[in-house]
Amino acid sequence: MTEPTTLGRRAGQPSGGTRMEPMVCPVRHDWSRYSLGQIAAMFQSQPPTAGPAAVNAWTAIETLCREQADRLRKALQALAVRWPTSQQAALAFQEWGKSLVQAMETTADTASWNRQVAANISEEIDRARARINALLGEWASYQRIEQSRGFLVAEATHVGIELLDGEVSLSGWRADLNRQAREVMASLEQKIYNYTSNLYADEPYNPPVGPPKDMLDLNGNDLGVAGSWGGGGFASSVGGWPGGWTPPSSVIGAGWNPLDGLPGETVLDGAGPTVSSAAPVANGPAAGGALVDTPWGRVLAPGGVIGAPGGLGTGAGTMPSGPGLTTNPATAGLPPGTGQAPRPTTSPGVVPFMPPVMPGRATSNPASTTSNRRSRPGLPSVFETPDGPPGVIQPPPEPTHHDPGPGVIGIDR
Amino acid sequence: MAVVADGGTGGFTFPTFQVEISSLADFLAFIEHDLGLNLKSGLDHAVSEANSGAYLAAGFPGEMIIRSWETYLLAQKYPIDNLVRYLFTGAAMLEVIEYLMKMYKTTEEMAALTSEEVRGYLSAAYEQKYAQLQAHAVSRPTTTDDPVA
Repeated sequence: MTEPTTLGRRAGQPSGGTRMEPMVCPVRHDWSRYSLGQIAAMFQSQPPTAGPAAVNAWTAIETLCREQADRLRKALQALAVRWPTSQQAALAFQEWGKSLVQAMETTADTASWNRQVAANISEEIDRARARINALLGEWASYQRIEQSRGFLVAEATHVGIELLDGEVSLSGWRADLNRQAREVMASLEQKIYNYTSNLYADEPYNPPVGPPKDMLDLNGNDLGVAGSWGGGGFASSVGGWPGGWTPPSSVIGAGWNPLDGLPGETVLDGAGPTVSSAAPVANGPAAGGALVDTPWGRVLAPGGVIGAPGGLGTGAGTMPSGPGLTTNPATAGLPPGTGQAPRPTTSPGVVPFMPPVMPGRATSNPASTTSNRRSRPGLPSVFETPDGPPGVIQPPPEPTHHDPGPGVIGIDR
Repeated sequence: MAVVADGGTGGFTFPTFQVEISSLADFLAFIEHDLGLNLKSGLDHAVSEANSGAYLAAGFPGEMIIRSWETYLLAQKYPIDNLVRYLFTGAAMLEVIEYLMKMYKTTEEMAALTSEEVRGYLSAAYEQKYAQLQAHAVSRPTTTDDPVA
């Protein structure tokens, strides 16, 4: 198997494309949790035809753009002979056509570059697959020896080989094969990441005559192009393919959805992700709760606490005393007219003023000093002390009558 | 191709409208039957291969691989989107050529056509295609039996 092509700066690097930067700085995966069998199962979901198909896709894009750009350029040259650019109308046509030619050539250059990236990734995956299969073969061999009651021979052979290599694994051949499989995956992980860091993307084509900036919906909406364009031309030849390409849904594995990271619109268009600020969060705080609406969506209010109960005012949940956190001075233990005037609790981005707790102030409701206190059933209140003994200990009362009983000699009163 | 001499002096001092209209007709035929068909069939082929190639590095755990896979899918999405734009541009160009051939019958009329007017036609045709595309996307049934297509 040949070594993958090294990707560095070279002359054929796409000049009009933009290098794909990783969206985040990922961390290495912990492969120690997987066994050889589990790693081998991962390759089962990776069809061997994916690599060649990826290369074919880039080849098809490059070939198509290269050929059509060449043919369009020749057609424009032929048109210019008969319709020289000394006429303004002809000049406008030539500008339009040349911009299309240039864009196609840029796409072809980018596809040519990316095809090599796909080929390298495919080759690395194939190499890792072959290595894992070889480890599986070793595993099966050891198992056969064990089943034939010769496992001591197998262990001795294995330890003997490792002694020659300078390291001894006391956990036996299973641990060693698992370790090798993990090393294969760690290496594959790094190589795939390095190769994809060399991917390029061609910028969206916009003709020089002021078309709509977002002439195509790249949100993944299934746009049937040219099916209804009418006026002859391409309409008869188009079968309704999607305008914005998205990978097939079957490629998304269960348990994780890598497409969550895909932006809603083409990054190169400079459009940010669309966030529905008005949509309430399912099973989350209601509008006007601990979350506030911002141009970037609903965010936690300053000082807010995640999981605050819905239905409270903005900023509710920022004090442990619960509903006392309103803008009403009376409910905050203050006399009327004290503190901030009441505000609508749904004012976006507004966090109400929180007056300080002032114990001992007169209130209209004496019970209100404790009404806001959260009750905890089963626990005694720390503010209610039981009745204690009297402050002064008094002797017991003197007896008014005493009968010593018969036979007792005493003073006869 | 119809060529009209300019008075019998033995040469062509400037192209006449008949030459222009024939050249436009040739170019129109190229856009319609060559560029359009090839772009369409080539795009179908590229999309088919891209769908199969989307499984490249799919199914492996780990953030590095998953992020790499996302990046690859994005890189694959951009040129395919651009191919749609190229087809879109060709269709707009096609429509403008048809319009010019229909509206301008004489050399004088063609010579009086300014660059701004042509650019305006191209832009209007482009925006019209875009509006039709959006309307079609809204009314398009979700099944594969698309009556429009």
